Amino acid sequence: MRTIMVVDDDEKLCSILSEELNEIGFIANYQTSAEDALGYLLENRVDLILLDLKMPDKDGYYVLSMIKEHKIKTKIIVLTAYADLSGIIQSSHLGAIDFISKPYDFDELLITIRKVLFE
Amino acid sequence: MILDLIYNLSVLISLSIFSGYADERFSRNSLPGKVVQGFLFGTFAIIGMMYPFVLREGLIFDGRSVVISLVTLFFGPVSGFISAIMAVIYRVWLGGAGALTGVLIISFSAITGFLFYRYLEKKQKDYLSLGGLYLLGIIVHLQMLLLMLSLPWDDIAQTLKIITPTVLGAFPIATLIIGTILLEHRKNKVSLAKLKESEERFRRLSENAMDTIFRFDYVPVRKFTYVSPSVFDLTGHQPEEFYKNPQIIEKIFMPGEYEKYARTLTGDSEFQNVREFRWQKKNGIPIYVEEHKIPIRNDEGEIVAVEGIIRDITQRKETLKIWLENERLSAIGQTSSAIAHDFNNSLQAIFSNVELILFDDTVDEKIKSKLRLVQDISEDAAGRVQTLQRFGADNDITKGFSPVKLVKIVNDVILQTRPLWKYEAEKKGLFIEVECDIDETIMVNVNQAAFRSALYNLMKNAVEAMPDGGNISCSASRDEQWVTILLKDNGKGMSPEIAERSFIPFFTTKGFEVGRGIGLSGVYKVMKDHGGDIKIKSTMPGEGTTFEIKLPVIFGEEGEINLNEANKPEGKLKILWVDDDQNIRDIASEMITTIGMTGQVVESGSEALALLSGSDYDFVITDVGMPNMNGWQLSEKIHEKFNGNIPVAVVTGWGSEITDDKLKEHHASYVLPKPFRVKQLLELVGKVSLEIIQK
Repeated sequence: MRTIMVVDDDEKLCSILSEELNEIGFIANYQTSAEDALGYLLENRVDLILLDLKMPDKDGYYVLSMIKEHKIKTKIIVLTAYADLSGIIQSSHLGAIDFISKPYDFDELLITIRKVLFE
Repeated sequence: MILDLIYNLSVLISLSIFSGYADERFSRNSLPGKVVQGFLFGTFAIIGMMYPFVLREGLIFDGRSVVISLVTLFFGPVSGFISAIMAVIYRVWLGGAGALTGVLIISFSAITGFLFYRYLEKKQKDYLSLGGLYLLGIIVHLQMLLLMLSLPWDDIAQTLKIITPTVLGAFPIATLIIGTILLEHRKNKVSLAKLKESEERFRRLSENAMDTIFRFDYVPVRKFTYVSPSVFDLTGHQPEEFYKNPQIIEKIFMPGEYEKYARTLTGDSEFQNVREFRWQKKNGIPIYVEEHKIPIRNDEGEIVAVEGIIRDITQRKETLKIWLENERLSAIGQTSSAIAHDFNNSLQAIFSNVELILFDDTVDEKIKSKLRLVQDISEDAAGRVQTLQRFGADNDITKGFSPVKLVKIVNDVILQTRPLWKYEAEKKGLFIEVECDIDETIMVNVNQAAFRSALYNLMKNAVEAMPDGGNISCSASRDEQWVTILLKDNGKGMSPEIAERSFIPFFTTKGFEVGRGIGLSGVYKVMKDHGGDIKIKSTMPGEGTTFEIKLPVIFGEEGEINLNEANKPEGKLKILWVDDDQNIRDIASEMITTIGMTGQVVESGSEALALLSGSDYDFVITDVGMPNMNGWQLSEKIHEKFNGNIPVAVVTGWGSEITDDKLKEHHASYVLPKPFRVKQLLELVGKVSLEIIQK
């Protein structure tokens, strides 16, 4: 069973998303801030992170660089604003495997998740 | 003598009548029938013997030889035996000089009749000819004369002298006459049986036929006299319903079709051709039928009835229709794809130029809002070109989804249907008001062309449901899972029965002519393809209808594309862009700089290959439709030459139709639809960057 963590400051979006992911057979949870996410990561194994780049205080890039620094083994898909090219490139330098630009629908997200987790 | 004979003959004629009557009641083939006939003929033989021609005491002549031979011939050995035994007993009881001869005559008559009977059986004939009957009479009575030799010696000569003319003249003729009467009866019987058998056969045929067979009488009253049971499968009505109420046929026709049919019911032309109609089953499902019928005329030549066959040809029709449609569409598709290619190029130029101006911060907001309109319109045009290209191609709408503001699509459709609810309605003196109340922020992920056409159909239905004018309103809400769209009209509404069936394919209440378009079943399919649903939320005759559409919610807000200097990526890609169209080339080079990349734009595949060998490029974007070397060929050559190290993206108006397999076949990695927007180019470049960085 693969574990997925959703990291986004929009709590409502997080809860819907993790609920849907749980429903189709992943083990999903969510964190609404960079600090919480990193705190959770130090304690738990997570196979995949869906990471929003734009968050207040510490943003997605911070999470990415901390993960890289602590050599935490996990895969990351970043959620970016509408085709934010430099964001994509910057985050991929920081270890993100793929991106989805907002707005996205669940099917699209699933395709990307499957690609990243199973290919 | 003659009088006695006539008397005997008339007795025998009445015998034939009795026999016929008995034959009606008891089949000659059953044992009771044979026994009855045997007793009957035996009785009459005895009656004949009661009033004989008496030559002298104990020496009597009568018709028993005729009776016994005929009963054996016509009804077989059992009847013959019974009657013969009866006659023998009676004759023996009478006694006298002729008793032995009489018994012998009875026996030999029966035997001769039986021989003839066997002859018929062997020849498998149903009955003897007239000549045969006469022959039987002659043989039986020649025998009879011969048997006179068994009389006491003194009587022989005198008896023969007296009776020979009568026995050889009148008796065979009597045999012939009685035989003929029995024969006639037998012939009737046989032909009736044959008729019955063939009728039975036809009935079985029609009862079991897939096609519906009917007979409709004009006189004395217009009614169905036969409708085969398969009519139930055809129409959902039982044959009895047709017998009871011939008018039911008017209901079976699609609305408005019966009148057309009735108009053609005059004159002979209605019988000349196989004709096709639209019917509907009891449950409202429309079918196509084919009718072939023939007139039944009386002696005066007037038509008194029609007989015909109705065949369900729905399957055939639908197949043909789909085939024809496909033929038509692929013809259009072929001729239009060339035009579409040029059109897409022009649209791409308009599109991109507008977008590039919109990125320019120095441009006045007023101008920008006008340009956004131009952008929307050209996007619409692009959508139309795409539907033009899709003609004849598999219309898989599950591809080509893109996020879009719901309010934009709805407003577009309202504008598109304006001729229906505004101009046409006003021509008829109606007033229809259309309102749209949808939050700007609600976005949906749809195949725009398909979704629009679905909404278009719903709007059209709504307008058609309001023959007196009224209100159409569209609103939307969003929860955690679904975007819910309500489309409400206050038109004539639907009965629950119709509402229940409205999503069934081909179902229409508007008749054959009006009911075009994808129909509600098409709308249903579109919504299902989008992972959504549509249902009738409420409808009541006179209270209008509310459709509820659900689409999956999509996550995140629509972001602004930010292309200012600070946002330009550091790891620049070097792009080689190939397009034969000058306008596109101009746009392409500006695009490359706008998104912060570097690169070169060239005109042809060969030029591109030459450049690629000279310097390092990260990525190639190529148009597909080019002269000499098309995009696919170029992609293959690049793959071959550079060992698959340079990813290729193809730009095509068929973007949403290109499968992964097709890409792999030509060693291309990405597709960019044409016309594309900057965000799509950015996404593409993002993916390529990721791929390169990860390597």
